Amino acid sequence: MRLLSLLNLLLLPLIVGSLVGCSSNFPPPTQKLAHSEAAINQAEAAGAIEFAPLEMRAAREKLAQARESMTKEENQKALQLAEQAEVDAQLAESKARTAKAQKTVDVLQESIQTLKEEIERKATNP
Amino acid sequence: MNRNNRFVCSFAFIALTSALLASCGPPMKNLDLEKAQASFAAAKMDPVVVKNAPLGLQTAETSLQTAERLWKSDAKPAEVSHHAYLAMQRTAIAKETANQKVAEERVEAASSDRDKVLLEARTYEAEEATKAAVVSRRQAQEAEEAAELARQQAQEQSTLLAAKTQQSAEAARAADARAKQLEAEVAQLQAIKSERGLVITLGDVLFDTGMAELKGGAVVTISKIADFMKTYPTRSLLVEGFTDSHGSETYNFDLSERRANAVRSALTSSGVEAERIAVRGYGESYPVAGNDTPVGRQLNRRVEVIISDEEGRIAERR
Repeated sequence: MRLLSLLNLLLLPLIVGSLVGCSSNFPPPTQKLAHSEAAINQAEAAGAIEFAPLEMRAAREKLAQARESMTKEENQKALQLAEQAEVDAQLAESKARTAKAQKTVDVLQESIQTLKEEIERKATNP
Repeated sequence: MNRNNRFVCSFAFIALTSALLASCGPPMKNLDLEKAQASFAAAKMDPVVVKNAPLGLQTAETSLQTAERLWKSDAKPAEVSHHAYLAMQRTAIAKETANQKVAEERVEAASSDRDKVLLEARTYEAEEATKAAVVSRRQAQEAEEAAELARQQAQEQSTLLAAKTQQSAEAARAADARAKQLEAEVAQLQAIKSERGLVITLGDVLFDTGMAELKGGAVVTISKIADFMKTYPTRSLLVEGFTDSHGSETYNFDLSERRANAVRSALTSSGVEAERIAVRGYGESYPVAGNDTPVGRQLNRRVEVIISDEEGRIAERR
């Protein structure tokens, strides 16, 4: 009997808490914020500002909002914003890498074309 | 409360909260989740994405499953949407990673192509350079041969020239010698150069009066003339006889002709060919001195032997 009461006592705050959605028992997501900031920097280094400006701006804004939420102790909100910022930055980075590779392909193909034309020109005008 | 009542109460409480927690019917539509599901399904069907970004797809799927689980258990829409957003972005990342890999493969291929073309260009250049070298070597060789030929020809020319010069010098010397010899011989003959040719006069003392027989004193002169004519075979002779005015014209004409013929005979006897000698008698005509003195008359009584030029011509007496 006492055990059951103890169980009720334990379960009740959890159930109530999940019903209310209170974030007070969420730890501040400092590690996640750090990861997100690192992801943004990495994307920037890959040239994402030039090739994926929208995603980069979204990432920065969300990171700022995450920090703000953390100061207000809205930790779950902060976590979610940080997660989104991270994923935005990762997408931006990937887009930048693709764009750069494509540029390299274009430059190489142009170079090949020029070389071929030069060979052609030399062959006809010895 | 008795033991059973408490038991029932607890269970009822749990049941009630479970019921509250559990969905009463199907959950509300979440557009974000549906979008994420569609996006993921499309990506999963793309063989390029599956091949090049399997891990990315897995990460996206995990997020999607979390979103679905939350949605099924009637979680707050905001939370479902959050995980749906993560799933959506992670799907996009997977697709982009696949694009990146494809682009990087293209870079490899293009780089390899470029190396091939460069090699082709360098090989072509090398071949052309070799060809050019062969051509220019051949040209240099031909130039060398031409120069050698020119040198030989120049040498031959100079040798020829030297020979010619020598020949000319010798010819000049020979001509000079001949001219000198002629001068000497003419001097020897005691011939006088006239416009008709070389004139040798055989005087009156060589004939007896009224006679046409040549006396011994003429032997030397005749033989000198004969020698001269042998030396210069292209020349010819004209023998002209003259008398003074003493006696009749007919007699003098006849005498002068006979004397001229006598000289001719003497010359042919000395070896001069008869056809080279012409004879004329002029009688009293063409005196060289006055006939009024004995000296003059003696001078007029003469025979003149004229030697022609190199072509055998003697101009007519004017």
